Amino acid sequence: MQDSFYHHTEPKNYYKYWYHTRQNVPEKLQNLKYVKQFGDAIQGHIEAHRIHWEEKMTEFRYTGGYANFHLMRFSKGIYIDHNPIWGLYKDAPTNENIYNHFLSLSNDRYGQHKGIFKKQRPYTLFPLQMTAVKDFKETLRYIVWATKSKTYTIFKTHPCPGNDTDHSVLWNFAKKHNAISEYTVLVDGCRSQELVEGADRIVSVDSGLSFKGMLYDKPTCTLRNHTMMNDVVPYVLTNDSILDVKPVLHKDKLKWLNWFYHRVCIDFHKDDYVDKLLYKFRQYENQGLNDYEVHKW
Amino acid sequence: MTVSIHTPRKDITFILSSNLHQNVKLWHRKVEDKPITYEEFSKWQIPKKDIPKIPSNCINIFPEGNKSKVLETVKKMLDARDVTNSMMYNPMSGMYWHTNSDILGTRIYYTFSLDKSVFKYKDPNTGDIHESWDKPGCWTVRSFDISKEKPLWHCVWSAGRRFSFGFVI
Repeated sequence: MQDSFYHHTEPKNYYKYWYHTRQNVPEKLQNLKYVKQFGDAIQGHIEAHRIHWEEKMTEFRYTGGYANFHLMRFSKGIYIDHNPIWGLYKDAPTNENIYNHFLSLSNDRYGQHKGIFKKQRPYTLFPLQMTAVKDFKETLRYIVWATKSKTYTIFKTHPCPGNDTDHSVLWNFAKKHNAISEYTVLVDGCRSQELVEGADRIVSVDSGLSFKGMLYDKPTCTLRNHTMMNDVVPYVLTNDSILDVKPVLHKDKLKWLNWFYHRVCIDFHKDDYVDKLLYKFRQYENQGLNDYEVHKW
Repeated sequence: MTVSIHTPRKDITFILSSNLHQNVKLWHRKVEDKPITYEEFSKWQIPKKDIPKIPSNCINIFPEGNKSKVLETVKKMLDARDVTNSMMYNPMSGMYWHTNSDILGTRIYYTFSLDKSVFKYKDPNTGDIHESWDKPGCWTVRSFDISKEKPLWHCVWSAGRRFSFGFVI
């Protein structure tokens, strides 16, 4: 952007900054290679000031994939910060290839804890996110509701340690205000797979585990609107409507997955990821398409 | 020319840009529920009766509105009489035909767009319709006169986020 305060590094060098700000979090650092691959792939095709990971005033944005980091995203920002509920997936096909592909993936954005959860009773799963900052209020509101409605909920701690994901502030605050009960149980150190598979439903502020929830036909909802999946996963208020949420219809799931994989994601595990990335860039640059047109089916 | 394009003043765009960054939390999570495509926008017809102002889904960039210190500073720099707006258009949104005839005088607009966006107007002298496109990732400055005798019908469409700061001189 003109006159920006932001320092625009060359795309090929951005991974150094990314590393610097995440060097103490191995669960995130496992994705460093993709950030570097992206920078190398786009280098020389676009001026540095026109593209950035964080800077929201930049024309083009890129970031790690939703649910799977290697399915990286690149757009003018619309499918990065806040996602419109435009139903663009509705024209996508219903073949099961992409669905089966996703079933073969871990569908975890970050490295996970090692523990394997053993189910003892039915539960709702609530993956904790940035509870020390932006997700504090929404999560607290849910804790209060779970206790009040006697909805036995397992709160899974975030896999990446850090100030923002530190759940102790929230949990201590909730305890102090008598919001913690026999229905609100904190589970630390367990990976997501068994927790999702065993859950009756998945509720979160806007966790990437919504993706896994949908994949495994769990009733899934979010407490924040305009998340990546709100086209198919409902946004709900923190009340008994949570209990009425149904799994995404199979047909819609197949359509959404096809649309998401082919329109939003660039698969950095495929040999042709550079071609796919540059094709998308040229749709904007040479064909003059906008974000809506590029992401339409 | 009914609508004139000017070279953006660097001192002004610097102030406006830095404040957009400071207020990023106010605007970066906003999206349009019902997208307006360019084709739909193109079908909009000019109303028969004057519409000075039109409601839209645009959001105020500054929490304190037009009285923000930043806008007051820019107002002085432009030697403007008043601030008329400071708003963000959501991606795939627009503002229907209107004339701004509630405040007469010369309008000057500083706009910054992150994707294609267009200012469409009807030349009051010739009746011709013109489209003036913003350049994505750049500032655009337009000015035009507003009078009761010759209303300037105009409307806007934007494919991406578009920030608009209006002043009357």
